[in-house]
Amino acid sequence: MRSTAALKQQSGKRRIKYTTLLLFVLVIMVIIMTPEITPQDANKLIIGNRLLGPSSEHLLGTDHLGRDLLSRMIAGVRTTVGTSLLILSISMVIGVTLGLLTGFLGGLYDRMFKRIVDAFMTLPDYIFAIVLSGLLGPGFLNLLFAVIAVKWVGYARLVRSTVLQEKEKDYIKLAELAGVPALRIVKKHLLPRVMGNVFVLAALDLGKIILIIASLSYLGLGPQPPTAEWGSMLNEGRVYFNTAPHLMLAPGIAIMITVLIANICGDRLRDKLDVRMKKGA
Amino acid sequence: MIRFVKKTSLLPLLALLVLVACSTQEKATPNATTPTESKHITLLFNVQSNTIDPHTDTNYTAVRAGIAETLVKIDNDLKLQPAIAESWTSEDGQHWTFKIRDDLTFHNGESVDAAAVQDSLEHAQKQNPSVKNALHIRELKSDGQQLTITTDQPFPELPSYLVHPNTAIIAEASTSQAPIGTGPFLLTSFSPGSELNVARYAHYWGGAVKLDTATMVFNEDANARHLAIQASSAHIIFRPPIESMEQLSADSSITLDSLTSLRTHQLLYNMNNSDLQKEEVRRAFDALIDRNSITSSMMSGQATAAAGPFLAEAPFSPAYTKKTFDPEAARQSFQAAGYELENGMISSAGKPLAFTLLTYQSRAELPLIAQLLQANASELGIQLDIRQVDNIDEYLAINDDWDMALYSMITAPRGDASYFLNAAYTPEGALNYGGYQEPELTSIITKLNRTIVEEDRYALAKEAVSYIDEHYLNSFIIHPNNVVVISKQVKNWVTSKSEYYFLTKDLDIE
Repeated sequence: MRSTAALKQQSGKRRIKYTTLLLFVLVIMVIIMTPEITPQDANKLIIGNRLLGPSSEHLLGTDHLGRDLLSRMIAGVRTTVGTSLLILSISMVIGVTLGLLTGFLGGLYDRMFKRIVDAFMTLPDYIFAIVLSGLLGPGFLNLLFAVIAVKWVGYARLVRSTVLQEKEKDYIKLAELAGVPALRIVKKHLLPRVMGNVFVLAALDLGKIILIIASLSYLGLGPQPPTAEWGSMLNEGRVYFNTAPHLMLAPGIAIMITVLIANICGDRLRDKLDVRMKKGA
Repeated sequence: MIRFVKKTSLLPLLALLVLVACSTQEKATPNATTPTESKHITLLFNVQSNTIDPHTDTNYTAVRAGIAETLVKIDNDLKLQPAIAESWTSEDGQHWTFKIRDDLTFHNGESVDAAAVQDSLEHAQKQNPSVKNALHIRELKSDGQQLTITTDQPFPELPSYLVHPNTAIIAEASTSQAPIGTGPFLLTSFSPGSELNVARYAHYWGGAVKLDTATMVFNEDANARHLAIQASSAHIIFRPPIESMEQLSADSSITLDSLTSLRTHQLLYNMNNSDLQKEEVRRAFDALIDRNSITSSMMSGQATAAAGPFLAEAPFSPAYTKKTFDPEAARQSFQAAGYELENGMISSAGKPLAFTLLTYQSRAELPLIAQLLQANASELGIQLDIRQVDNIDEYLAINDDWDMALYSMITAPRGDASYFLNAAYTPEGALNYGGYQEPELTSIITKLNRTIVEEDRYALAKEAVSYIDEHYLNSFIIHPNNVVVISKQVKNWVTSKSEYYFLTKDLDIE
């Protein structure tokens, strides 16, 4: 019989699980419905309304250019989290495709690919993304490119190593002997096999990507004005920290909570999908 | 109980987090470890300087820090005063004789004679083409303490040009990172982009220097500067955040100095852009600048709306055309320039107009002005892509991939219009970033350069400025106030109108 403390702990864990899941769904809904739920035009500038405190008209107050802060925070969800999800998806597509192909084909392709991946892996994510963004210059597309350039490698490496293990197994060898085309083997047998691990890695990566995007935007390397982005909003609010701290607090807290949600969701997904974890448990 | 302990154990952690969060601020402020036995001042300036070579430094750090001096100085009434040169004369405005002080020595102990001054001026001209273009010197001759300068043509404004910090006199043994000047302070250390330290020069020609040492720190973050003066880790700060003015005014331990400056924030147009070559387009953008909102809201009254490059009361300012924020007038101007108007939106051959607008961070209001202009332009369907650059002068000088740029400069540092007109509008002008080629304007400026009588010079300057004004060659936005916050411990601080002199021999601390 389980103790009361254990039951309470389990119920607490469940509560956290459902709350985070709910918040994650909420974030996704905000991304989809941004234009519908934004109370005012996020870029509408009324200079006479600058630095107003919270009121019924502006629930979070206004920023240094008289724009509604709540509207900018909502618009920022799409830019910050939406961009992160986009980067994650593109990185996954590139990484999985290259990992599958090179792992399955082997030979010279695989050796060349391994060298390239090793070269990328020696560079720290953040520093490489900052250097790349700095070289490319500020802007949304450059930011996208810089973060994808550092993120696809992890997926490619993971997929390749899984494929190398799998292709030595009997069911793949039998499929090859039976004359099943390579593309079909990859699609039918290998892809479903690797996707579990890929989703776990992606879930754990989301928080990191959000932080990279916010950091680069904070440095002025992300989307340019007037686009609302949490990192750049944090930077803009820095100047007014003494007089209008809400300009920094709002995006700061939003980044913190979103990264927390992403990380908790990632952990839960790992617990669900990671076979090794389950075996060890 | 255990739960209580667990909960309370978070408190030190939170306190630690707060302390860690605050620690960066401490790093951003100067290390003003004031030795109790010596008189030391820490000054925070808003623009970073990566070089201290007075001949090339666009921030004039060596002169501002009292390390190097020029032949002639300018006071706050914009009158010329002797400095390294005791006196100067010319009968025809072309042949000039400057008498160098007898009792003058460089910081390395070498005495300063006319030959040393000649070497320094030749070095300045060699190092900096804009100095060469501005001075128009044909020949330099030295004889003892007497320096003779012959210009290409009569150049009555030569002494006022020699006020410019890029003409500062330094010893031949100087290096770009260690200039040896004649000022009240000698350089002890310089960290590019970070700070410089100076110490009193015991043999200063101007008399006893009151301070022992001083530190000038560069910090572009207005908030950090504000916190530094509040935390007493700086004694003088330049340009605090506008929003903090009220709070600073209420602080009895500091003095707030706010002077109308000789600086003008302006919008430059790149004449290589075919759209911006059209006067109507420039006129339209001018009508999209909401000067009143900028001065009253954005600058909290710490600025004056600018109608032209110089303050309206300057003797060489013409009666400027009235500048009002009028999107409808802008719309009409775009139409007059041949663009289509559909549903109130401007387009060119069915495509929206798009421009790149440059701005920079060290003047905090410029990125905000850029966004205000961007918002006003978007109401007309015009897209402005804002790009922020680190060093605007360097960027504008090298690149041509911009259409408009927000820029700020002291337009009449020596109480004369010719410096700005020559630098910004003549084809060879060092600040002609827009690539202006206006033969009519150039001829007026050339005539101005050759005119000696003051009244005639004013008339010609007015004519030139009127031309700029009528053709909307630039849009002049505001004259920001020069705001300096000074600790009450500091004595004898004078806010320099020209922004050339910060650390002086009379500056003192209690």
